[in-house]
Amino acid sequence: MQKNKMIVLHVLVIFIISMLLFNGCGNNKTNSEQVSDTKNPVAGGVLRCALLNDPVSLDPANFFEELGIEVGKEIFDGLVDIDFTSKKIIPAHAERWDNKDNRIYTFYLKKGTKFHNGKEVTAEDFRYSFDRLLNPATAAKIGWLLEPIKGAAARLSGKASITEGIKVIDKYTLEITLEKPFPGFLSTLAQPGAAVVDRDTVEKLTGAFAATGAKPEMIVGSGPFKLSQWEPKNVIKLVRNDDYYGPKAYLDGIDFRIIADETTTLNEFRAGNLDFIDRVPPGQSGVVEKEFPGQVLRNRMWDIEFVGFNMTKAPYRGNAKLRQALNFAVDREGIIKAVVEGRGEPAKGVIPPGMAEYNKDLNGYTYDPSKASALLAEAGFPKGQGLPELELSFNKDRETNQKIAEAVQAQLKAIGVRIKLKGQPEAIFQEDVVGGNFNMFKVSWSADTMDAGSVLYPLFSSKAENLPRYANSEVDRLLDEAQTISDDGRRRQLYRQIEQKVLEDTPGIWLFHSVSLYLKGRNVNGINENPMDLVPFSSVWISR
Amino acid sequence: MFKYVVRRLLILIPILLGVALISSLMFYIVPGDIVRVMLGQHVDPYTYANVRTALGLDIPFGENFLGFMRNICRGDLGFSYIQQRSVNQVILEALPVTIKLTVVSLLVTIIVGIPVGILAAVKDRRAIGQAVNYGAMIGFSMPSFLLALFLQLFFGVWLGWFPIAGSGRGLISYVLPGLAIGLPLAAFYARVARASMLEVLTQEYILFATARGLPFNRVIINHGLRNALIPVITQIGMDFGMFMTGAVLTETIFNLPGMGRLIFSSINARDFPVLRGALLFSALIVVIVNLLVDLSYIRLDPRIASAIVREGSDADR
Amino acid sequence: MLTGKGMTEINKTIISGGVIITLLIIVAIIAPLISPSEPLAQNLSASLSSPGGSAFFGTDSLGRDIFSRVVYGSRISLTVGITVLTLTLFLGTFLGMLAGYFGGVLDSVLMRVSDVFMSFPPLVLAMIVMAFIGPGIANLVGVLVIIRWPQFARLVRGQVISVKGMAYVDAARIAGTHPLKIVLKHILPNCFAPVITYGTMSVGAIIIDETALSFLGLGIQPPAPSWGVMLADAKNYIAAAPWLVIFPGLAMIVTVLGFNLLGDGLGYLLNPKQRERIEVTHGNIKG
Repeated sequence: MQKNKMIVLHVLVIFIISMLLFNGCGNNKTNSEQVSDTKNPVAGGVLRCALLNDPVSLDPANFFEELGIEVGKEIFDGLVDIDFTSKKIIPAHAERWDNKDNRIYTFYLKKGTKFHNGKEVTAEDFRYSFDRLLNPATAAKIGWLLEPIKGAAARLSGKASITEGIKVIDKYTLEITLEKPFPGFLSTLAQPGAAVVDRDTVEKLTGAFAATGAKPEMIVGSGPFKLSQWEPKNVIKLVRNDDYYGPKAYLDGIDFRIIADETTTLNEFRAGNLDFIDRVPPGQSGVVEKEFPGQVLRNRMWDIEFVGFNMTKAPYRGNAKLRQALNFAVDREGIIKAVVEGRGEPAKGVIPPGMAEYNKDLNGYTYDPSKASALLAEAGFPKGQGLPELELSFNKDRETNQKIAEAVQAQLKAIGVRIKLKGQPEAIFQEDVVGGNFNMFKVSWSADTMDAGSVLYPLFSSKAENLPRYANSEVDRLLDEAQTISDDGRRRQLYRQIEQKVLEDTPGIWLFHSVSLYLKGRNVNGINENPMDLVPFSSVWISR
Repeated sequence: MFKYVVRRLLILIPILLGVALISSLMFYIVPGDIVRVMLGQHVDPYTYANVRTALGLDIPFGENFLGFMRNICRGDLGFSYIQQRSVNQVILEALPVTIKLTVVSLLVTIIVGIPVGILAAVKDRRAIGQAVNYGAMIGFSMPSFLLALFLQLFFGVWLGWFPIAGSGRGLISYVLPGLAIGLPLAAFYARVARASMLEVLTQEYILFATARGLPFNRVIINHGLRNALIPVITQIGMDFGMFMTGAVLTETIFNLPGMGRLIFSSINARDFPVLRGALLFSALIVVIVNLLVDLSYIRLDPRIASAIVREGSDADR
Repeated sequence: MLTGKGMTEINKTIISGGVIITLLIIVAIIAPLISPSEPLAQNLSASLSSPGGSAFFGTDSLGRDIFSRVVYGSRISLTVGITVLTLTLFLGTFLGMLAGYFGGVLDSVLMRVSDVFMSFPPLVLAMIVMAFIGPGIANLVGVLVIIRWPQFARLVRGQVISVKGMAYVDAARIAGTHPLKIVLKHILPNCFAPVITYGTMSVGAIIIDETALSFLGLGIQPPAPSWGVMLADAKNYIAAAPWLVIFPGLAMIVTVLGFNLLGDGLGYLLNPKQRERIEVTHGNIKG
């Protein structure tokens, strides 16, 4: 008799305890102190942040992964930089430049700028560094970055021994010719990988230069910080470069602690051992915003998460009303709140807010199920009758994709459209999308330059990757035209026009633009919104 | 005796070979182009060609496999193109974590499981024996990953006594994961120990010893325990493989960078060289532990030792 | 050891296990009647609500009712458990019978093959195979059968060998009875007891396997309400929404407990000596 009671008792006890406990639990820390708000930057202090792992390499040629870029962008400098607040390209090593038709760029370098080892940086150093990226012997992971340059393809495949389009005019003047006009080229040059490296150091130490745990004397850049120590699995320390040619950084140094786990990172921040984290663990966004009021920064990213249609297949082909109907059926705000914990902004169209080309008066899409049903009927499928079951492919290695897909599935079902989910491992998903083997696909596309063309062109020009297989000759023509316009204002206006046209055809369902969360200590200032998720630490300062 | 050890070793080699063979076959049966699967669609042609040659995909399988075996004898388990470092390095990094976890789990299992089992057997007719037996039944019904989640919730989140993730805080980080793996196994071994002890207790020589007037406890410890423990130790040896790589789920939940999580993440990342190396390494450890368990048998039970000696040159076991 | 009191205890074990399983089966069958919502119905504005009101177990991140999902999840667990058991039973028994009766080369080959299978930690083997052939319920059932059959085969083989040596079997053989008849009439009935016991206890282990694989994303795929899928989801929200872990977890424990109790009781009932041997040889996934 005891045994059965024992079992039941055990189960009941667990049950009761759980009911009691979870009702009264949660983090009850209140943080009533204000974020310190001194106006004037002061120098001094070391910023402590965290990295999930050691970068594979601090060689700019291998800046394809976030970890390397986050540390490396402070050590290395290139020709130009981007100011995201004013949305302009600003000088780095180049003090000014000429731009002919977005095709021939001439850069005039500042004189007397130095590497960390004291040597002067010249145009020849830039020629060497860029050519190095395209040199097959380097096997640079980001060689594709400089593909727009004339002769790059020949250089990459080993057919040429130098890059034709890069010419040293004199000691401080560099001329770069592109294969075709490309307005985003200056943004490309602002990327951390397009940095200048010291030829002597690099050639002496290939291998060691590129590996984890490289010594400070091997990592020679020209940026606002220098590498002072790299202990793998422990910490990477940077110190301020007092001979920097530009405005000196405020921080004395930066410590990147290697903490392999997001939850531990957050706990370290709570314990006061970290000053800044750029990644909040899933499930904690709401908690963190309550726990650290005023210390959470919403960072709007330049991306668009969307579901693309295969425009060559039925039922999408030729049926704009159907495609529009599907757009009105999706509850974007609901998805943002439920799936990504509010880390997003609903997308009316393609271009993300925060980009200069963003059109706030855009005539775009919202959540309107009755309109969706009406359009669906007009499209020839009242209540979804006659529509076959559609298949939605997505990359299931990215956790949120699964939930987004499920939400979209449920919302489309509400107007009668049935979808089957097809989650695949990343590599296979990419193969399918590139090969056109899909019905609908969910993807996220980021702008990698400060030019909306980097979103619009690859996605919608029939000459480019064109994932949704969209073909509109008018849009093609306008996109090509935009490539050659060097006047920023005119070009941006043209992009807005293109976007509006694309939205009429709507080759996809525009879901949302991502927002990332930054968490900073109370006395940390100068962390600005950065849509490429790369906060420049040279503008950060710590108040006393 | 020596012959016995050598024979046991000889049996184990085909198993290792089997594991090596099957894991090498992986490279060839992957759907799609394996280099693109590992490095992504946009891998540049130069890297693509290099990696293909390095993996030996264009030479006949037999030759490739032999080359791999030769490398193994030199101690080289391969190179990960995704992580850009040698498989040996990757494994050596993950190993200490798993060893610590295994030790903690083993301690939990032995310290909790065996006394509980023996208690249940000795007090079988009383309520407490029955209660313990059924408690063990519940423990045995709870898979370790579920227990891991509950422990994480209760001790990590609510009580905050132990870290819920990461190996950063030293040995204390291994407490919850160790309990998660150790307790269900403790429940299982408790039942094995109990059954074994029960059988021993009914043997005549126990009755005889008590009849002679020896105190019951002494009887248990001196006579019963040794024999009762043999099945338990066999089982632990056989399940050692469980401790090592079965910790996959627990390590994933607690985010401990050990061998279990390595196997899981290399399956996900399609990092085949690492997967192959890790599997082979784990198989090796399991095989060695099994051998050691077998050898320890001989010390524990003299009957087995004499059986081996008498066995001589029998071909089958 | 079996006193009169012992017998009633055994009965109580069998009954409690049986009751749990019967309740489970009933719940699985009447799932639509007792669920307040469809298991896949989302309600984004009610995302992550704590238990209360119409959602007695709370809701998940997409606002789906956990109670309904747990109830429907029982269907998945039971289906997989029983299907895998049946298939493994047939396959393992058949092969074990062959090996035990005919012995010789067939036996050695079978033993070696099952050795190789058993030397791979089952979860790892399952993970690798599922990663290659893709997820889904059919593949899952196949893989689970592959990792479990060696144990059944060995069990049956052992039984067959011991029975084979008995006098009446020899007598039948000498009398010229067809081997098939010998097997069916004399040997098979003697295998029932251990096979049934072991089989019942295996269902618990099979359900744990399925849950583990689904938890890792390699088994049943979301949005299907398998308990493993629900636990995978819950892992991220463990601090913010503990009910996501507690309820599917409890459901699983109770289910497995039911099968274990039943199997345990049956074991005592049918053959106490045999039961001990089973406990020592049978494995379980303890990842």
